[in-house]
Amino acid sequence: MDFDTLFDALYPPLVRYCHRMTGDRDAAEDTAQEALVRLYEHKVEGPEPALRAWLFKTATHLIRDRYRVDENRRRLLEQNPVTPTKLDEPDQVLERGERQAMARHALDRLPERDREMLLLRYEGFSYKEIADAIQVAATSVGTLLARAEKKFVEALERTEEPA
Amino acid sequence: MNHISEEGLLALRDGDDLAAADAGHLEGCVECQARYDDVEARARTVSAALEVLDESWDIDAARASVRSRVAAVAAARAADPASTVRPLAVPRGASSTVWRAPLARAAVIVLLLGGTASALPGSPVRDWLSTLLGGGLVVEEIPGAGVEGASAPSAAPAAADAQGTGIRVAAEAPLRISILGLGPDQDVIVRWIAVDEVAVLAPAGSRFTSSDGRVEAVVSGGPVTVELPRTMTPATLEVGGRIYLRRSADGLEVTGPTVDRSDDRIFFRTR
Repeated sequence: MDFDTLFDALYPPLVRYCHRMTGDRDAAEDTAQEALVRLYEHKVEGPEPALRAWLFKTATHLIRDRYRVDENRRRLLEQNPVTPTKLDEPDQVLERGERQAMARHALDRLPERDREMLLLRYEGFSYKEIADAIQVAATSVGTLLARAEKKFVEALERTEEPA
Repeated sequence: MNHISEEGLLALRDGDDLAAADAGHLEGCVECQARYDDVEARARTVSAALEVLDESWDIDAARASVRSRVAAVAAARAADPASTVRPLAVPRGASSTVWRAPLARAAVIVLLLGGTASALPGSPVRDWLSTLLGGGLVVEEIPGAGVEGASAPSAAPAAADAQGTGIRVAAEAPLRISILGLGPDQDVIVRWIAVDEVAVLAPAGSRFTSSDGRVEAVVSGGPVTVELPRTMTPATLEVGGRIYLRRSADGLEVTGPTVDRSDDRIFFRTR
């Protein structure tokens, strides 16, 4: 697979995943790009699904390494509050910003492993691939994922409740 | 009647192989069907909440950046096949003149020429890069590679002692040392030294990179010895993503699992 084809297919979901994980644009771009450079640096070859799995796994570990400490993570989020993308109507901007903040808050409440598992699943990875990426038994993924989903939705609902 | 477990319902919803046995039951069980509808609704809620986080990205700028860095790796490899030095991400806002070594400067020149030329369709530089970078690890459907992949390139050590291999570079503040690849019950020894150098020594097969005060080691096992300048601040040592010690103007904060400690060294053992 040539560079452009690989990049076009894999970079957008990878940077999206990194952004969902970190809540930080710069960190997401740096991590996604670093993972891609390492793919070439290590001369990793294979079918696209395997390359994709390798990249996401590498990005997951990079994020763990660089951003896992809760204090750092909170600081990053405080310094880089989620900003809404450009929309025409001020009401839309406000509503989207609020929804982003709620989702970010709910994700932030999850333990690291739950967050990784949830985000990998919603990028379309199979249970086996998730198990490999975060190093848990494949047979545990369903149980852990169900728990992670529930926690996320509960956290989401709590943030929606009026104070 | 044994109903389908929660994880079974998720596996069915997600089309996972593990769920094949439950599919028949679901068709004939009203109760499980209702629970299945609930997990489907939950998936829609999660998906919608995650999608709202997504933003637009400058894909072309990212492509150019990755292409340049890949070219730099190729150039460095061509200039010195045994080199362990590779470009790390330049912090935003930092000067672009981050590399000080002559080799790195040469690599930048080659990179600029190569990056431009490789963008041209049919460019021989494209093939040249492909040749330089090709022929490595072939991953299967489920990669077994670790963080750095199973195909860690052969690397000549920048420094070595009886432990096997290592890196020794001039220390620059802020100093950050990251050690990856250690399992539990492995020893990490920090020695304080009087000179402004930082060293990481580890068993053979370990791999090291450094750039602008940052040293990263992907080690093949323990023990690992880290030599740190006694007076440099700020300095941080991370092992497996966890901060083991941090020296700032306020003093030394040790947060890793210590086994022994003296004026000259701190002895950690991973958990």
